[in-house]
Amino acid sequence: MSQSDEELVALILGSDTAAFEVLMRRYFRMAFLVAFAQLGNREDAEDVCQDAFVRCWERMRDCRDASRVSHWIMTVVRNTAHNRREYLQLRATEQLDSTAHVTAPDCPDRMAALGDLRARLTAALLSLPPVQREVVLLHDYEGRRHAELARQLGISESMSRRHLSDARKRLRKLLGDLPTLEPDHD
Amino acid sequence: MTENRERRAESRLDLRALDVADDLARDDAVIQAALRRISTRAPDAEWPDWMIRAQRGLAAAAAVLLLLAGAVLLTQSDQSDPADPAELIQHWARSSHIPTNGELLSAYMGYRQ
Repeated sequence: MSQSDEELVALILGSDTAAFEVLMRRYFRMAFLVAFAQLGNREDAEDVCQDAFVRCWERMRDCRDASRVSHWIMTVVRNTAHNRREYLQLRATEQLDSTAHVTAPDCPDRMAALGDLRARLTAALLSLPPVQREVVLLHDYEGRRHAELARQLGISESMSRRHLSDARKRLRKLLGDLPTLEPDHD
Repeated sequence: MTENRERRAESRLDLRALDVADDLARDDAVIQAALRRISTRAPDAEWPDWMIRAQRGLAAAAAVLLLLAGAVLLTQSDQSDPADPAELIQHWARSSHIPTNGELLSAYMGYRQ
């Protein structure tokens, strides 16, 4: 039987790295998508996850409510990603800035290329407010349910639905022909 | 047609072109790297109990000292010499105090000791 978050946190406070590994694996995917929503780049998101999890380990005592440790972890990840993004912007080396505007498709062949679609999709995603990015990624890409998103992101279910609806409208407006998946799972 | 558009607007977006596909090997590499980093450091420890108890004791002692100091100051201010020369002389007489030259100068000429 898998251990609860509270049990894992208690073990981690006793310096149990095995318990921390279990917690990391449990929330890694969500943490990665939260970081990606901030940065739009896989490598940066992975670096942020690594830094954020080390920080979580060091500051586990700051987590006042062990039953909400996942929410706390996501907050640490989000803050770490935000700082990384600012750092990258300061250095003006962030590749996403160069694609931060959505250009009209001028060449159908290029449009067909996955790389181009990826760039357009990433740029459109980054034009959304951060919370909408997280919700649309976790819901439409990862297939998470609103109840779970609400719990992990610290928002209400109705706000999660609202953010998703707004994000979809905005992405469709920017990308027009964005394909859809049927049916909606939640 | 409007209904179709609304249904489409509420349907799930296909975001599979994004570079976020689940890659267990990459995920594991990040997790292992984090584990290597944390293996050399323990979570931030709280202060030991004895230190917290000592802190509390020191705080209590400091509070007592402050109270004592306040009481001493109040007592001294009650016993302080009156500012009016006539009252001051009466005060000296009551307490059989023989004033020094300095005290006399201070009382009558405004000199400070």
